[in-house]
Amino acid sequence: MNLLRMWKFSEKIHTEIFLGSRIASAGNKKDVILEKYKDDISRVKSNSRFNTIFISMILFFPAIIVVTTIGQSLDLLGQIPIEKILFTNSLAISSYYAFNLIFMLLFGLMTLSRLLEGSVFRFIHTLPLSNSEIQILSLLTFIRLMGFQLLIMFAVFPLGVLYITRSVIVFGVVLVLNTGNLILTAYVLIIVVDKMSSLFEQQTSGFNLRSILKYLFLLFYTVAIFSVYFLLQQIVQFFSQIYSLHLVPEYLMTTLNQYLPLVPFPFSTGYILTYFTIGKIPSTSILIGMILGFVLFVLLTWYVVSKGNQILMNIPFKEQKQDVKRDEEGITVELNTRGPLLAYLKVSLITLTRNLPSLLSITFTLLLPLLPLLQGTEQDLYVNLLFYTGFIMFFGDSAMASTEGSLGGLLSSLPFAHRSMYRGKQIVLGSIFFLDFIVLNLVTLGTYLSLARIVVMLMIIITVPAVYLIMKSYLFGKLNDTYTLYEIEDNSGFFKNLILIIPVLIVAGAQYYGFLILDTFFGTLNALGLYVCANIIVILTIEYMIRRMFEN
Amino acid sequence: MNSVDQPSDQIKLGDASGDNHSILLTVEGLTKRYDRTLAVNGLSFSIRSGEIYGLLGPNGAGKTTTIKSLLGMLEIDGGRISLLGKNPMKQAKEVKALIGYVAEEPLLYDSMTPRELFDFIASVRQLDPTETRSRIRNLLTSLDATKYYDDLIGTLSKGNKQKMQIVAALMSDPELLILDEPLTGLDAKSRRIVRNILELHTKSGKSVMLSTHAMEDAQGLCDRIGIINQGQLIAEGTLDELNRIGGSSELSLEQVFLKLTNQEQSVEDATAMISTDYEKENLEE
Repeated sequence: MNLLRMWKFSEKIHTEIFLGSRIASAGNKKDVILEKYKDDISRVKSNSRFNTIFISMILFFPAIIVVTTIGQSLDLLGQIPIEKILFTNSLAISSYYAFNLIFMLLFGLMTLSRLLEGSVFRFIHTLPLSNSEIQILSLLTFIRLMGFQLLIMFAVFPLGVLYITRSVIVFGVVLVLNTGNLILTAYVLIIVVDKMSSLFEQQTSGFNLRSILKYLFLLFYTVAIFSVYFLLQQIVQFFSQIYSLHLVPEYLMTTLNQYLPLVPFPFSTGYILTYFTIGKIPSTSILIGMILGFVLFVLLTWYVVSKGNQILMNIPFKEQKQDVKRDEEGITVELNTRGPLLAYLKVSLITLTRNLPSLLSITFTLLLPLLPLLQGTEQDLYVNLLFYTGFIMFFGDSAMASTEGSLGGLLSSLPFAHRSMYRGKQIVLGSIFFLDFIVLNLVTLGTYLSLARIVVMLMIIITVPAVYLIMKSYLFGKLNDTYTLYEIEDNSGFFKNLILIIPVLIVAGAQYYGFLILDTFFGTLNALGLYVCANIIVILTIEYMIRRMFEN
Repeated sequence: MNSVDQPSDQIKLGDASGDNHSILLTVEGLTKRYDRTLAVNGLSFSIRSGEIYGLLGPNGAGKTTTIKSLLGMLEIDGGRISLLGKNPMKQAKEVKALIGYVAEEPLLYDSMTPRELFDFIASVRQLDPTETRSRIRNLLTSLDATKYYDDLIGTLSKGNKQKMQIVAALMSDPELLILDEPLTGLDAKSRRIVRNILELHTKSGKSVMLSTHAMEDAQGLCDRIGIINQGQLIAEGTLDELNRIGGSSELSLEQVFLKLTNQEQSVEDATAMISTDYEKENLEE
């Protein structure tokens, strides 16, 4: 098979990987995803392209910012000491390379892990292709997966430097060193993803070191993905304030300029690029440091590339997973039965913590109300928690998708009463809200905590999930003259989801501001009494509706 | 009674209606429409206590829609279903309590172990722990699946997932066991064991409804077979009765099926088309 045909063929593998990751992230709703793509398979490609463009845009901006910084430094040549310009420029370029690595790790991790897992090549092995052709296919698929992002990293920064320096020699040097950094970044990504895949490959049901590591990694990953916008904001701020670094004492800069060039990644290339950009160097010792650092960089890149190549070449030949056979003796068949509701709650807890998409959704709900903290805002975080109520319900509900599945799934084939499912979901969604409340208090060290807040939050925890579930069932779950919590109507549409969220926001807002109004007119204690009485009526009304809607 | 040349009409032999007291399930005029597609069109059949009833049909014939309707998982557009006098549309929970279901695509939680799954099912069905424990142990042992009891279901092979699904469906000793392609992915030994289990299940007075494409499974197992095409039951009876409808006692179930579903001609056309290619290839050689 010639290279062009292989390139075309690798597109099929690329599509398979993208679709696979979509299905994996859909939990038990994979049939809905498959149904969506069945009608229009070109949506897989367009969704994949959208993803690539989104990630590429994120990589594009830091390159432009660092080029602008270099441009500003060139304007300052002769006005401030060369030592300072060398330091700030090198730091800017090195930071750019470090950020590239972080971004690639964040966004490439999930995509590449499906390639490195190797299962997409199982079918390829049945085709009349040689091992070397399959290896080339895996390499081409890697290029398809990461190629556009790598191209942005390859071209934007050198072209930007060419534009501001108008020097072909500088452009050539930047191109070579940038390519070196790019290769190093790509291969570090391959090695890290491979290590992560082996961590996730062996699923365990117990609570051991492997699962703790997995949860810690997931938590870190979710926080990192979640913070990308703020990370970008910090980068912009960092570069816009980089010249305040001139305030750093000169002796410190001199010392750092002596040692940092020796650090192979990301500093050595940062210093060399700066040297070629400004065309001057303060001392020979720095030059020697740069040369030594560059040699170390080359050695490091060579080592990482050889390790990464071994991984890449082995992808298509990874063994299929086998059932782990154990000694039959030592396993006792036993049953710990409990009531249907308790059993449902236990299963929810198991699937929410062991299922990756569910775990990510739950982590997301916990991080959402903390957004203003990352922005450094001083607004009342409780109000923020109320603002995100709809999202918390929505993501909490999505997280539970793997527990209940769709209509036609395991749970719907069992004699499990819809009212029990309602109770179970209300408890889980209420618990997520409660966890939010706890996390918020831990983060703010209980700054806003008071009896009134606790009572209001308690009422929100009881009423908001109830309203969400009733509305959801009313809008999506009518089946055979009764109501279910399964989504019967797949084509739900944007407006129905909007109608679902608005009452939730209204109830959350009414609870919070309702109490504030009562407090203003009657004083805190009287207001609390009135507020609880009003809520008892609300809760009784909800209970009446639930008994009417859901069979027991 | 209709002739074989008019397969769209229903041919019924050995109808269970004459033996009314032993009828477990009755489906009358079941109709289900998806947008403009009529998936099931006035389907009627019944299943007696203690029999294995096979529901055969080509892809898209309406078998899975029928099963989902029996379980009350779909809103039907017409007709009546009764399982021991209970209507799945109105009494879904009671009907599901009487049914064990093995779906074509395993309905299991990948992130749970079989131990946790069976605990959950026993809790929801509110089964007696001692009796159920013994059933689970025997089923797992007979299917050679005890060793996977504490492995995550997501890590099991397709065959072992299927075994777990069969145990999950049988652990409640259901009145009606509904199986959608139950033997897919199982090795020869396990297939034989599952067949034996199904026969034992019916000997204890319980019933089995088997939906399959595999003619040899249906031929060897089913007491009566209903052939469904384009949402309609086109023939029903014992194997001998279906042979009679097919016009010869020497026909296999597959031949009868193809004849009744009007697929014989398309099989011949497809074979002729491919054989032309092979003949051309042979001439070139």
